[in-house]
Amino acid sequence: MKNLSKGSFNKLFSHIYVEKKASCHPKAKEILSRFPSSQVILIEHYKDVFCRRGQNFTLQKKSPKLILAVRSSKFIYAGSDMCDSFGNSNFVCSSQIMNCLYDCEYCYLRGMYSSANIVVFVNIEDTFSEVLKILPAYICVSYDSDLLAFEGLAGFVREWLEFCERNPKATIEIRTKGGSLSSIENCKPIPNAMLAWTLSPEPIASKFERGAPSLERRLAQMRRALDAGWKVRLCVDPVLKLNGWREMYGQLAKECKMAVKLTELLGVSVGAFRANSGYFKKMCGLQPDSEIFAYIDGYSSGEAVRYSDEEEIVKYVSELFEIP
Amino acid sequence: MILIVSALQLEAEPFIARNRMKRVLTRKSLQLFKGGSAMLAVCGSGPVGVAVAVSEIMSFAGVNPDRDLIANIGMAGGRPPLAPGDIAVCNKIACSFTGRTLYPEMLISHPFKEGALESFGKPVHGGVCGLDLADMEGAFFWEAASFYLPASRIHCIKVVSDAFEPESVSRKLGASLMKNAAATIYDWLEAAAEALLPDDVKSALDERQMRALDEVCVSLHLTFAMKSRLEALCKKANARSMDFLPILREEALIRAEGKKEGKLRYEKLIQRFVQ
Repeated sequence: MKNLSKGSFNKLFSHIYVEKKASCHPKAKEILSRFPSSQVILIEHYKDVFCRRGQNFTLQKKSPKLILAVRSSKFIYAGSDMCDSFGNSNFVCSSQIMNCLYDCEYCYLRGMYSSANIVVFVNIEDTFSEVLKILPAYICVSYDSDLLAFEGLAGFVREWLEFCERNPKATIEIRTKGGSLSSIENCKPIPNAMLAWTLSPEPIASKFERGAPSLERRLAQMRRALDAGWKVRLCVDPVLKLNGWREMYGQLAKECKMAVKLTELLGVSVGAFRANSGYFKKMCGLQPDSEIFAYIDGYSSGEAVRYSDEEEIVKYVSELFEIP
Repeated sequence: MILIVSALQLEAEPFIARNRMKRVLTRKSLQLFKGGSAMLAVCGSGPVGVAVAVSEIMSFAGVNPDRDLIANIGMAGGRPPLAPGDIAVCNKIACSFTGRTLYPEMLISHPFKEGALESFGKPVHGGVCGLDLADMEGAFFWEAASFYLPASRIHCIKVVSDAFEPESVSRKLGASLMKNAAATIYDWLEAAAEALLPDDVKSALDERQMRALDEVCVSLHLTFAMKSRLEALCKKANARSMDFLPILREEALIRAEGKKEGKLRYEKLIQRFVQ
């Protein structure tokens, strides 16, 4: 027992909390069958676990639990002003999974949720019914999670692709840092679905994007996706202002251009780090010694937190990725 | 510090012996014991005693929410496959009075079994409890403890004494079951407390930096609010690996003539950190 030393946290999804009304859903059964040794705990409502008081996000990240639930409302919501709609008028988001497998230090999810546990809403068919009512629409399906990283667990990307194939007026963006393109290898690329890779310079990815694939792997996956005929967007978002950021993003641009031709891409989206002030306050509380937040001095409550030289940063990085 | 709350003396005895705890004589209203880095309260059966004991032990220990840990350890009736002698960590705790259900954090791996516990106000038999375990303290303990500590630092550990036949448990049997379980439980609590220790905050100011900061505050006649802002900036500078000690020392060298000059120099100093 004495050798149960520091670091003896339970493994990923050691416990799975299942809403009673979700327990009979085929998706829940399918997911549970993948974790035969996990403890299954029946709950009334996902918020009983996800919104408990006294949770510690940082500790929970060391041993995240899975919560299987049924979403009963808010299947889709309007895209945030802080996100790029890429000129689409009906820009909405869907959140079939809340929280992420990766632990990125700058991620707004750390400020948005009080729990690091992962909620999977098993009833994706109800989301599809709601989306049908608002078509045509541009739907970001992977903002509050990395859906592709969960593909082996939940299979939602495949279901979204099948939905889009049946409904050409639905255009989806699947944003990812994921390296698991193989999980949708058998899916046919379709014109109204795009994969969007979020890239960061390797020193940033290795230091601040815990658990996420390396830059090299992401670029390799992007290459594979392009070769397979997928529409691909590159997202350099958020750009982080750290010591030597200009050199780091310069190097990133070079590596991207070596891996893919920028003309092959649907576009490159660039955005500097920004956050809702309430979320930012919580994020700073979780990581008081964060190097990322140390470059932001002062912000007003109720206003978005941004770098004072945001425009200059975005302009600089955008120019690095300009097509000659 | 590890805090333990048990209902009965016989449940507490092995922990008192192991840690060579001594009775805290200044607390007459409650049996409180202290030894090494552990403290224990014997609260008696039922909801009121356990809530009072949690409050009392927390205030007496001057609980630190970043380092301390509390556990309710005691006997409980258990449904098969749980058998007498099994140690079970409660992963779900229901309160029969309020109808509320609580979900403890299951962060640390353990060698025990797990079960869902229901807490009642009196001893119960088989048909009444719909969950794996039944006791008279767990839920009330958890609710009370959560006023003081985060969920990750509250544990409810039960030693199965019977299959919902409380009258079948003799003092001798109870003492023996607890004695057999105590060492494993306590070792695990120690390991859990260590695992849950927070990481060092790298941005914290060291002694030299604190001294330089104090000198600047005196030199520039800074108010409490101004000092707080400067201290926050220094911490951020540490996170950015900026060597700001020479800047502070330089500023501390010449004392400002008055508050007005101090304020002007302070604003310039702030700019050097923000750049």
